[in-house]
Amino acid sequence: MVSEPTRPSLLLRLHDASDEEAWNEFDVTYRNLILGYCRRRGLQLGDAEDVRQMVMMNLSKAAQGSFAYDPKRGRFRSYLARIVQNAIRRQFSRPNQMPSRLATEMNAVLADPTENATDELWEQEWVRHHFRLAMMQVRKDFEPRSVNIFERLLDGSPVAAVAREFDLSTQAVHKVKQRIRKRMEELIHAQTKDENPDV
Amino acid sequence: MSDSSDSSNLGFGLDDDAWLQQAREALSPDSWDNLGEYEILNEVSRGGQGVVLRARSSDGRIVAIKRLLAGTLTGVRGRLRFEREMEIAARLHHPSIVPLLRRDIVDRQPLLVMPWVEGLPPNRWARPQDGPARSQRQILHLLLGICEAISHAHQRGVIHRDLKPSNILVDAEGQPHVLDFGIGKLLQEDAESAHDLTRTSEFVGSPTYAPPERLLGSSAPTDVRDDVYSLGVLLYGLLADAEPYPFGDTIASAILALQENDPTPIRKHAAHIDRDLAVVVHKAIAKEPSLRYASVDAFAADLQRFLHGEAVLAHPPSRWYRTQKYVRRFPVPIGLGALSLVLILGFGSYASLQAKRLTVERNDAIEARSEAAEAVIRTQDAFGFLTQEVLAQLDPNLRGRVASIPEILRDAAVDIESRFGQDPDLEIEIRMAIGRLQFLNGDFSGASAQLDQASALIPHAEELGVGPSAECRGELSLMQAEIHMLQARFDEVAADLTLASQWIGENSTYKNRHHLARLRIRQAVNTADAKHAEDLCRAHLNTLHLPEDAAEVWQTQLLLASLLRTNGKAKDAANLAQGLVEQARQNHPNKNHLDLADATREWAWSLFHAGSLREAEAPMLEALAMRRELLGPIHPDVAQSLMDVATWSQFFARDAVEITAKYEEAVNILRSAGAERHRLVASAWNGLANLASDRGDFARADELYLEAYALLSERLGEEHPLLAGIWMNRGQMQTQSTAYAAARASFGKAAALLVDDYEAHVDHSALYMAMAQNEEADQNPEQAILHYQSAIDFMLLKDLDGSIPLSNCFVWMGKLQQQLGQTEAAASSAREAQKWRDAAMRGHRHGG
Repeated sequence: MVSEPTRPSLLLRLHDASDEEAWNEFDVTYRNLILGYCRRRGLQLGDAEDVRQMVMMNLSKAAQGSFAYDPKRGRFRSYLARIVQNAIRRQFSRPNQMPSRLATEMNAVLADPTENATDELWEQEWVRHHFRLAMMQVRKDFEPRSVNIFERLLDGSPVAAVAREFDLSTQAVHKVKQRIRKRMEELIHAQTKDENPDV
Repeated sequence: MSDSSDSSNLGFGLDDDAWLQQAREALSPDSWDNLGEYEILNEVSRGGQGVVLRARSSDGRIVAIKRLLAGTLTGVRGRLRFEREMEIAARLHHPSIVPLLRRDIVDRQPLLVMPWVEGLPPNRWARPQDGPARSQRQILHLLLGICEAISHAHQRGVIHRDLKPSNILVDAEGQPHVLDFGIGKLLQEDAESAHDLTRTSEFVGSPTYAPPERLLGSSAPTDVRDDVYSLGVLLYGLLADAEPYPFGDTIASAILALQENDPTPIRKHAAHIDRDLAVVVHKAIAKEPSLRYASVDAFAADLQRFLHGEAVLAHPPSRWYRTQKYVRRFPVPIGLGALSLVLILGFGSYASLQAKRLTVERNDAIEARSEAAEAVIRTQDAFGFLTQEVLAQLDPNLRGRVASIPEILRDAAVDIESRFGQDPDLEIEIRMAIGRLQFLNGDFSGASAQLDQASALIPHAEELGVGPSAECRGELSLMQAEIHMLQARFDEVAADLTLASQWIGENSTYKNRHHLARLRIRQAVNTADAKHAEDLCRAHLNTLHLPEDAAEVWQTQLLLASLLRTNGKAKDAANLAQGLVEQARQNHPNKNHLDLADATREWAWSLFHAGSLREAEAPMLEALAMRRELLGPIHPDVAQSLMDVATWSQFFARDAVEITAKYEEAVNILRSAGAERHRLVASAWNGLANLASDRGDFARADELYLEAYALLSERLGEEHPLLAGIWMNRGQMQTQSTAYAAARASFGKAAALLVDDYEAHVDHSALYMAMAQNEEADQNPEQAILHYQSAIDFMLLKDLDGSIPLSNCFVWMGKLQQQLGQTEAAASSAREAQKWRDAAMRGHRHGG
């Protein structure tokens, strides 16, 4: 589910509204990021869902027009941030209205230079997002045993205890941790690259 | 592109323990991503579709949670489908429609949460176990309540597709509550894709309520009449406690029953049911969809009629209806204005053919809803929608003839204020959309009116906090600039461009920035600052270096070609234009399009000014033909091409009647486009004046020259070099009519206007030739020779390959020199004349 570096960037594929696979992948990939951010901003789950819906719809429409994400104009992270922030604003300014009109909203997103792109919460969610994605891939790439070992370590168990539990030496446990870490870093690196495809 | 702060956040470069800590935090589970906030109270039911649970949410509400079994919905593809459907359903707000509190896919299962409704399915409510059965009247009122809810959904493009008793709950007050909108469709698609139609229980619940065409495998799209059928069967069951067809346990037997039988007449099950009511029920459950009620409203209306003791409409037309009850007429077709507004507004991305049909049927409720308006704005391509939908669906019967697009647009515009008066921001956007369409279709005064009104609304919108964005305002100013430029109101163009520059800057779209740049260039041309315009043009080209700028480069080069021509570099212009024509042809091999027409025209004029006059004819005619084909007969650009041809034809002394007709047609076109003050009109008058002069009607010619002058000076100011052309032509006419002194005066005025700049709009050489001819006619050969010499000097400044006019000059000058005994000079002139004529004939070689 995570793009390998050799595949065309998911974000660029979004320009094609008929590429359902790309859109679905995008949806699954970024769903928790958007929901998580909304929740951390204090939205109820229902509102967060509505915001996510709005964001997805606006993105899909934008991708077909001149408001599509343009790598030359900044990071995808900032672009998405503004869309989400705008959607949240809309959600609360007109609570019983339909999803906002595209043109003015997107205009506001693109034209407003003062929008805070260094939102702390957003950055934190973004980090979680990357780790989450990488972890999902790790689960596919590694033996279940290795994954379990890693999860034990994440839980906070000391290396020695984990080694005993799995009947391994501590060096072996360290090895697993390092291999998974290396893989995750590779994946995260590729993911961030994917979000900012080189022009 | 990660910077260093990224790296540390993302864990790069940390030591192992620190990294693990980072990962631990980043991967800690989200507390909200489960069903934790619900306390399950009890399981309500379990069936083929899934499980229904009764639960309490964290805020104390009692809710119903439905977990659906839907195999394909859990796939990546299905998720978006699910959410789209649910999103549509979530738009329904009606007291009898149970809202969705939450929809989700959790653990690969679709999940729906809705408020808990305490009630009974209709059949249980109608025949309670402890108490008397409900009366027919009560049943009908219940059904009307349900119909109202369904109709509400239909108006919003949602068809239930799965109406049955288990999806309707009747509360203690007898109010119906309808559940599960949209799910039927999802599950049906799911079942179909799983090829599982043979399982009776899985087939969208129960075949009893499913319309026959679904069971019999029709591939027609879902229709409101599906719901009509289901409601009909529901009513059948409530009234007669029976089902219309003897279905067995399997789908196969159900299909067989449908194929072999007609629905059992309801009065067989319950003889006490009124005949009229029976007819209504049977019309609702007609096997053939076209024989059913076309909408739930129609069904409900007939039920109402029955309840009020009126005649029902359900009777087949062949039956003669003897009665004292009056018969209400069917609704009359709605007027064009309302229809066109509806079609323009459409239903955006959720349009189903059905929804559009619904609006046509509901003659009293074509309310422009905010959702619909937002939908069209969302599509951002009202023009595409308009040409496809309106032109395809416009019914000539409603008006007796097909309306033209400008008429449609004007009609639509009439209703805007009453529909959107409360929403200035929406009104602005719709007016802009319509204005843009009018502009594209040549209705400039219409467009101008819309855009001015849109402008006027901005302060009001801002007060309400819904002012348009910078981009939007920039676009508005750009459009106004275009229109004003076309109408030759250059002061207003300047104001528009200043305004546009405020709103369009670094962060604006390429389209708008480029548009602004080009408008600036064209404005420079219009204010006779052609040199500066050329510089602006090249500067703009220098900023375009990306692949996606290709179209903009082409456009700017076309503009540059016309500037080159204006600045006397006609040959360069011709080469450039020819290249652009070829490029355009390559990009679109078998198609004509407006760019190609523009480039062809430019090429024609460059050739003309470069001295290849005859070669200019073909491209000129081509451009005219292309524009007519693409723009229709009444577009100002067609007028422009007509004038091109007329001017050219005049030069070559073609048939005067034809030329006159072309000028007149051009003027009419400009008038009907609301551009009656356009300078092209002045050109046309000038042309017509020349024709009048040719046939000796000098009085008429003078009239027309003065009119042309008045219009042009009004548009461009009295100092504008273009006015010199009119003076020159008038002078020539005066020469014809032997008013030589007057001619001198006219030429003098022309020359005065041309003093400062070389202005190739009016050919200096032509002026001097005219002056020479005037002197010649007035028997002043020396003066004439001087003027011919000036004419020759000017012509030599152009980089001509060959030139007949130049050759002519030498011929005439030579003759005069001969007359005056200047034999050497005369011989030289004759040689030059020969040289330039030969070169012109060959067409490609340099003279001298």
